[in-house]
Amino acid sequence: MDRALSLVSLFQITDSFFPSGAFAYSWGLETYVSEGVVSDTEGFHRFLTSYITGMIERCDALAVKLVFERAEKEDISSIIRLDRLIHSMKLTKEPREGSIQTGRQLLKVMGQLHKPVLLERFEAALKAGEAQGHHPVVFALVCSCLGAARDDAVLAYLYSAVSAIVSAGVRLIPLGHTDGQRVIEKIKPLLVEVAEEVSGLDEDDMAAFAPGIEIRTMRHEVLYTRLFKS
Amino acid sequence: MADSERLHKVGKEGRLSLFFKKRQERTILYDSFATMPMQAFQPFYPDDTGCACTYLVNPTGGLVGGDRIDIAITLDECAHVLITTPSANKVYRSTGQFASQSIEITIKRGGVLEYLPGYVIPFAGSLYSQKTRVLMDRGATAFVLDAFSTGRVARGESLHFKEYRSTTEIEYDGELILTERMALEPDRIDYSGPGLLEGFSATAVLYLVFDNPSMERPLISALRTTMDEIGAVVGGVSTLPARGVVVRLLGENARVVEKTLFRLWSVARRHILAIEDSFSTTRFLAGA
Repeated sequence: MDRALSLVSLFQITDSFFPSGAFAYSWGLETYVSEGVVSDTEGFHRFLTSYITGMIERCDALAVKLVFERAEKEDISSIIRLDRLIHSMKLTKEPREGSIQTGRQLLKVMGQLHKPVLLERFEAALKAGEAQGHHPVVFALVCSCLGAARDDAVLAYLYSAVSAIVSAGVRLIPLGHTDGQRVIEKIKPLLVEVAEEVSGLDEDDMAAFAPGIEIRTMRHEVLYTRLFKS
Repeated sequence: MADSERLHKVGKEGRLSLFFKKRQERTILYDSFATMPMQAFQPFYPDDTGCACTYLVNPTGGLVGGDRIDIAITLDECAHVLITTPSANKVYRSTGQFASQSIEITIKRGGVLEYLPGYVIPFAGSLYSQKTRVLMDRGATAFVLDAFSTGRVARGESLHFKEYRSTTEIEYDGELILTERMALEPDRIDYSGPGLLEGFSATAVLYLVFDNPSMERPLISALRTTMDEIGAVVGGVSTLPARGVVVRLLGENARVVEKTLFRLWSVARRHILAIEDSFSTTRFLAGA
């Protein structure tokens, strides 16, 4: 029963209906579409693969795993340190701000539904300016408080990242809803692979490499017409 | 004697430490220490800014598996130093061990560091790991470049290395403000897709860290304008998590990327250091 309840909680926080604001970001996709580089299902799938392997795997997804483990030990100072490490790794303005805004929004909504000690302590660190509240950090904290399993939390994070970008892709490229689902279907094995890879990694393995995406999120700042915040 | 044999005969662990001090109008190399294969050289003064231009020289021409280079540099208060290398940094094929380079640069109050090493060329089968740490006092300035090509591209060798890792960390007044950790494994990941290298064979990141928040906006727009004017590379500019600006470039080859970089770097010099003319210094770099 506990497992069933925590699983439903994961559905709740990964649902597009959950007001985290994640659907306002395209993470560079809007620039790619405006440049004509990504224009169909195939190109979009390749972009999404790059995004997951280059930006998410060893950064956000690994952060979810690491923070989750520290949350289980109630090690708040390590969690704050990881939040600061992630902040120092987000070298482009819009993705950095997007990660903070969606993280804080998730904390704000969940904080009104539950009051576990760990969330309160992290909120206090935010107010004191000791932490920024990056999305993967808050996501892992919330998952731990909801009794989810560590690897399920990583998978849920990966799925929510994919779902937000596919939603952006469907609107921007544009793609039909069935094509959107086709892309999700095709990316599913990669998410499982990434979650497996991440489960064996540690803090020293934190890394990111996606120069193409970084450059497009930089150029998004001066894009002429913009639907999305990144 | 083959290149690789000769390399094996020199020391596997090279150390270099340099201490720069401002003396009247010029920055001088006040103290140095080196073990083979690293050597310390007296700085050049290509212009009248007093900036000490210094080469980091590895006379063996490149690194092989098992080599470890350790460099420590200190800039005393108000010292101004430009550090570069006489050529690209080649990393040769390895039979199993990483070649590694670690560099730590401390900049005291008012010091200015311009760290513009030649790009790294990881050869087929190479394993390379580099770590660059810059520790800045309040009121210090740092321009830090990290660039590499995907291999000996002219020979059609691209992304044939085994692993390339590069970590850059910058601390400002005791706070970690910037961490870049790249880890490339071409055997595992296809870098050709949109978002990664996109078929380009050279990439560079230039970090500009300085204590003047009101300069960020004008600098960013000047860098963007220059980049658009040149138009030879795909690039972007943004603000760092704290105290500065980052430039990222992707280009057909290292030459094109470097050419653009030198132009952007002279724009940064004009805005942040109030050095109007960097032509003679650019020639010193380009001659490298």
